[in-house]
Amino acid sequence: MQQFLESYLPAAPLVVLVYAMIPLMIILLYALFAIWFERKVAGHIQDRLGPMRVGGWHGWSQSIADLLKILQKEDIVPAKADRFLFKLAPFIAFAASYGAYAVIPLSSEYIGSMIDVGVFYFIAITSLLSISIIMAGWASNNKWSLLGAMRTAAQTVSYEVPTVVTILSVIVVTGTLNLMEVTEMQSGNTTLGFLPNWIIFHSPFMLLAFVLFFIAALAEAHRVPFDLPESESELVGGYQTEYSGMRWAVFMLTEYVDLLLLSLIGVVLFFGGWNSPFGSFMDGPVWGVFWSVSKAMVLVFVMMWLRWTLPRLRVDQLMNLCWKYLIPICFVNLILIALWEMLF
Amino acid sequence: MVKLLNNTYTTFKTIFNGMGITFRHLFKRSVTVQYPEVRDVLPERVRLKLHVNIDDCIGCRLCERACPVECITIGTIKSTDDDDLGETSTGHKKRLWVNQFDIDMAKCCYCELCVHPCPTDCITMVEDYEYSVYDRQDLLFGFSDMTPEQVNEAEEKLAKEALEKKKKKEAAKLAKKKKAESSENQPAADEDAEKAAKKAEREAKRAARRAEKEAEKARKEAEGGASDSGSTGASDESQPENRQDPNE
Repeated sequence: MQQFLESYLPAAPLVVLVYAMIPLMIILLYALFAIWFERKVAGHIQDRLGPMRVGGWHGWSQSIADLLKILQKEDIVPAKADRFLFKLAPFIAFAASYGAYAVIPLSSEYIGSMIDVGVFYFIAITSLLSISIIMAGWASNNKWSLLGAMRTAAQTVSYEVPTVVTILSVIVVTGTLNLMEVTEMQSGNTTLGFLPNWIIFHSPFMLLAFVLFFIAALAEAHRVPFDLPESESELVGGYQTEYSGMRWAVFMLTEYVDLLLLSLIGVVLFFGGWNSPFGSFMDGPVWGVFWSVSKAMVLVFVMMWLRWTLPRLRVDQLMNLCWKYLIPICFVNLILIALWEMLF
Repeated sequence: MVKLLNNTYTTFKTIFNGMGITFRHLFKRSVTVQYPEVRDVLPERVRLKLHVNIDDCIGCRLCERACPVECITIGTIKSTDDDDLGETSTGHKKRLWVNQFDIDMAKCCYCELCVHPCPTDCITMVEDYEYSVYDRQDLLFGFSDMTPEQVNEAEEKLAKEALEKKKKKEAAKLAKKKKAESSENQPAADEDAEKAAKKAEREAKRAARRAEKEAEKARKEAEGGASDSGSTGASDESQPENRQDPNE
């Protein structure tokens, strides 16, 4: 991929820039689609139609219209806010989410950085997100924002543990932290002869590991039922309360980018990443992008589906779920997977 | 430990149950009506907006009196003898100019109490519900089709007629007075004779009426019970005329 770009572009910095921008193109298009899709899913689950007006067919360009509206909005900074941190926070949030895409293999020919500590980097850089949210909450000088930020801090610190332990249980099987190698290991049709060689089919405990990972990922992405930092009905908008215009839009974008990111990492760790589910059929670098993104979209859909099904957890319930249920089950599961790996 | 597993089982069971319900609703037909393009069929006797067919209005003010919130204001001018305002489509004679018929839809409570008393069925509820306006004054609907000039004309005409009638009356009075003055000269005997003649005339009239009544009674008895139903029918027919009374 990099060599392909070098043969067409004149300067090396340009090559790096274009190479780094490829996921950005994908996630911007995805964000426009996902926001519209979420509204459609919400509408139809509630027996409504959702947006129907803008752009003809089922209001497909609603997000574009919303974006144009947001671009015209005034950028308001509260008088007693910490101006520097307040303005910086949304961009750190986005940078943290986008930075994590560097280690996601989108196709057999494309990965931002082939580092051997890929998973470690991923876990480290996504933690920045909670720092940016605390920044936004503190700098806003608003009770709602600060409460939202405090909840986020508590939530993220708690849910890092089950996320990391479930990821660790995958690493026990793969034996490498490089996500490209993790994906390459899952090629072919070998599980029971007909199932793809994906890690989720590796052992029955892997299915449990995926469920635990999914719950923890929902909490990491601050999605319903774990959307306490931005719970509209209690905290107005949580850490977003004082934000408006494009800065708010960047937070919104980060939320959806995070959704895709956690779905992608779930796909890479459990569902074979860019591998085709039909063995060598429809396999290749371009199909790889298609498969990784569409597999992630299925998980994104499940997250949206959950959002319109489940009510929000209370703060104490959230902590209860994490520390009393998820973490013990995660550790037991890790030991069981390790045993399975030793025996077979 | 057992409690933990039990709780976990319940959680997953209820979550999948809920997701099943939402998934079914995802493909259910939505209840949304795409309003400006598609409209719901309205119920038959829907009450949305008042309309007055001013050509049929006889200015009886029954609707104005029936209104509990006083949102109807009617102004009328008597027509002069030489004017013929014609008849309504229901066959009622129009005797009054209706120079004002205002309905304030901002006050209206949509009770439809004004519709039923109308003898000519000229005030009705219509199926129009898209009459939102920016100014509350725009909800005051005027139904009278008379121009200010026409109103002035009618008023002047009435005033003139009243003046003429008054003049005539005075003239008649004057004439009577003159006659009385002239009769003062004649003797009293003459007066007595006149009185006697009048009395005789009155008695004759009374006798004739009595005879007539008796004849009628006899005829009714002859017709028997069959005529009873006929008479009730006749009384029903007379009702619309009774309803017309207030405007006279």
